[in-house]
Amino acid sequence: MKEISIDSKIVMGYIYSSLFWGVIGLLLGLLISVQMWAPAFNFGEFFTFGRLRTVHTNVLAYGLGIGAEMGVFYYIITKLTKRSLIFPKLAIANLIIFNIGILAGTITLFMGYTQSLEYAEFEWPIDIGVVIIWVLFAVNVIGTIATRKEKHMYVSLWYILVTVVAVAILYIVNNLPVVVSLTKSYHIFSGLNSANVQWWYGHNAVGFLFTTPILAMFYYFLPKSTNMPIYSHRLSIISFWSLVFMYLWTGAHHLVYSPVPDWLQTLSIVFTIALIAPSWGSVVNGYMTVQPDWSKMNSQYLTKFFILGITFYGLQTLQGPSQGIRAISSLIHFTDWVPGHVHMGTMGWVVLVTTASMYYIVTKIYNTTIYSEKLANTHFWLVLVGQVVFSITMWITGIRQGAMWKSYNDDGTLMYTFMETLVGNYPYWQMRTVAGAVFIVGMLFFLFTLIMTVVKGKREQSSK
Amino acid sequence: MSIEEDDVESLSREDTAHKLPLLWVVFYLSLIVWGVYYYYSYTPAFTGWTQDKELTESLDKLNLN
Repeated sequence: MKEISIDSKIVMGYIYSSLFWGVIGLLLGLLISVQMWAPAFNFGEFFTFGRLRTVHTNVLAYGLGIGAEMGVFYYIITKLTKRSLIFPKLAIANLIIFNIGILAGTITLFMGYTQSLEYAEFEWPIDIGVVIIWVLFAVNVIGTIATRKEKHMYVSLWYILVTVVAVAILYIVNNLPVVVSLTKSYHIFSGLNSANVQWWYGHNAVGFLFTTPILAMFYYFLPKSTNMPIYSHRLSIISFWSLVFMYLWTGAHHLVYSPVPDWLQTLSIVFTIALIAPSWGSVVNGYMTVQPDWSKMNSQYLTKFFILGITFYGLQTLQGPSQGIRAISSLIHFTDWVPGHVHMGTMGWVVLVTTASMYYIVTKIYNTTIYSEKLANTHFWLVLVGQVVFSITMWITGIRQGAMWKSYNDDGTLMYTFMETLVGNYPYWQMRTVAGAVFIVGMLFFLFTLIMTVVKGKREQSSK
Repeated sequence: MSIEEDDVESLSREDTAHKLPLLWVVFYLSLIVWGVYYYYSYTPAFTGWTQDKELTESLDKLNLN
């Protein structure tokens, strides 16, 4: 039997790890969605909403998200640089440290150790681990690209490079601690500065963990799987530099109507709205790429993952900027609209593109075809329906909630008590749980199809 | 084992490699123009607009006294 290359083994190692963390994160997501409307589903100290919500976001962002990105990046890089990874042993060591780090981070969050900064909850010893993991990753990525055998830098490599650099800067700056003990630290920034740095980080974590890496995948795997070349190289590069330039200014739009200075809020809103242009540059490029032959949506099963994925990216990058505008922010801020928005990005854009990329990679590495297109299509539809229902229920109840909070009686008193606005969430929260369950069943179809494709590939190799 | 090599050139279309869709360019430029206008209008140092003043005025309109 022909062995797969060491690089391929590394890629598969990261993919398997990300899937493991993905299953945990998704199941916890389903549990906390139930906890929202059925308090009896809080168990003991560790399995309460307050602990699990943080575990859910961190395990999925860092375990599933980063794990998948590292694996897929290594795959793309070796292809686009026409060479093998510069330090394969380092990549293997890093894979082990990565899993230990995520495990340690997860356990400490379960135990309630948190810096109380959203998406930066890990306490300082875990942060050091995260930085080590990321630096080792960066050494391999930058080293391999710097010694590439293909002179031309395809746009995916630019997106990979900016992901590596930006995440390092964001993570280190926002996690600078004042250490009190092994398990407790405080943000080095205080008051308003703390809020401002936190949301500069928080917003750009979305930008450089869920936007640029997924665009790197999109630009590579769309032409590879459809055999249709990207419409415009220039459009992709102009969009890239504009996106990178604008993103880092936008964090303060999370702090509209706060004591952050008015000029700073306004500036962040300007960049937030302007960001629609480079985001849609990639959307337009994607559509124009498939434009010569839309029948590919039907005939090539992966095409619809990428096109629907970029469509949700397009919707996300219209909805997101609109939320930055003061009038809209004052309606939806602090309501359930926001998780609806976030989950369209993660469950729509990120998941569709990442899972399709994994299908492509596995069939290439094991030199085989997908185990079952039918199952892959079932995965697609369940994930799509689950995500759309999830998002829409949250938008509806968010607007309902926001509008009720803003309603006055003639004498200036509030028309509704907070409890009344909260109770109205229940039917929507229950629908959300159903939608989440549909989504998870879809992801189980994905897991099964992916693993069976590996099994099929191995069987075919050994029978040769 | 040798690595399977990609033909990087084949990832981008040649005939349209340097094209920018006109509508997109117009959209981009108009967002920049809008951004300048918006930043000028809602910055206290330029027009005297403040969040606080806007809130006070909107409360005055309700005539709650």
